[in-house]
Amino acid sequence: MQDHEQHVSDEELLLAADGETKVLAQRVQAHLEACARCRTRAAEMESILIDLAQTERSSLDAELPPVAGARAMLRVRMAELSIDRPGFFSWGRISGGLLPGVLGAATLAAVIVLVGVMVVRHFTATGASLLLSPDYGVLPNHMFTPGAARQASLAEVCTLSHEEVVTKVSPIERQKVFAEYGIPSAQSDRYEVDYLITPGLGGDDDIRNLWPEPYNAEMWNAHRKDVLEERLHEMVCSHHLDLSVAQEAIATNWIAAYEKYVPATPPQDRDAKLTFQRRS
Amino acid sequence: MFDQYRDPLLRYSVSFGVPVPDGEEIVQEVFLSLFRHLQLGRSRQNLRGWIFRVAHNLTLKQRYANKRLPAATQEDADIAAQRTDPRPNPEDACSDAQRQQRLLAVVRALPDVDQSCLRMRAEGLHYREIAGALGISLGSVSMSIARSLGKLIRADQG
Ligand SMILES: [Zn+2]
Repeated sequence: MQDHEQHVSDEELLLAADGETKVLAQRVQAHLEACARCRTRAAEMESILIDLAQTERSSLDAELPPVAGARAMLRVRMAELSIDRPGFFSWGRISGGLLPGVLGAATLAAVIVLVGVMVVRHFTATGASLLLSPDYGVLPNHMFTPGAARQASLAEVCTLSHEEVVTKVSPIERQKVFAEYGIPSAQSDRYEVDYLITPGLGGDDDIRNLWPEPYNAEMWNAHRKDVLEERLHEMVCSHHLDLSVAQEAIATNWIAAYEKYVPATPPQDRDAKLTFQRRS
Repeated sequence: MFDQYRDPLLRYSVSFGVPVPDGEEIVQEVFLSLFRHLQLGRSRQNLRGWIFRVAHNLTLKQRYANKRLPAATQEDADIAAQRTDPRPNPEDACSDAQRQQRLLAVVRALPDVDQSCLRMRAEGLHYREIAGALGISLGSVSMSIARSLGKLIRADQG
């Protein structure tokens, strides 16, 4: 009974995973680090929720008509709405009803863009758990994967070729990683077990440096991480960045590191460069 | 924003048994309402919760209207709900499609408010946003989802 009281309730696990109250999240995090049972439970809940979302999508998405028609319809209706209601906009009166439909549509486009930006900001600002977004799982759980580096000198890192340092992750190690993250074996083909700190930057062949990276991430996928790795390698070997700083940056939050170190070129250019430089 | 939320909102409506064309109309109405809402300078807090709330209300209204007619989707949902069997036989348990059917059947058998919480969560809303959308407390949302996930996990493990 007392033992039961010490565990975290399902509600608390869910709320903490959603970042609800810092205090609770910290308490739950501390408990999870010590309690395998609650870790398993948390993974179980998360996994069933993801499965459910995917099930809903796979059973419904085929029925949904393309978005373009609906978008065009909405534009027409919004334009109509502004014609129907002259003076609907506060500045509508000033313009004396001059082409209200056209102006309305223009404002509307601005509003939609503005709202879109606000919503995106809101997501980023609240650090919305990427749960269930197409980019869910693109950052490793630091509890399981803090990152680990081997004793490697700068000279070693900069002279050895990629092929010389990368060792293939063994099936046993893969299984360990999936077990740790509570990923059922049936879903394991959705993930690549990847090094957090790449061996090319001195990353170690250690379970603390391995995590299941989802294949289907739209934005922050393995290709993008490769770009970051090459960039950091280049900076380290041209003495523009300390090896330890590069390792720390990629281990802490590789997406933030990407934003910080990869020059902001348009995505097409990056992709073109990527294809060009892609290691065999 | 429309492109981002049209599919989630439409899925939400359709998953409650509303036919796709009706669902599409609901989504249109949601965005027209949003347009008016913003133009009137109303609160921009929890806009995601706000659009789901409008979609939720319109969906339930539409479903009620459709129930008066014999709607195939509603019947399907009822049939699927009857299939809720916590102990499937071992051969079935191996099949992915069977498992999906089982999960969906569990969800459809849940009370409306539990289905709403779960589906909004599945569309990526935060608990706080769901609470705002459904006009219930944060505690009720987390309890509802914990309860539903518990049922799903039990059904899944057989
Ligand atoms: Zn525990």
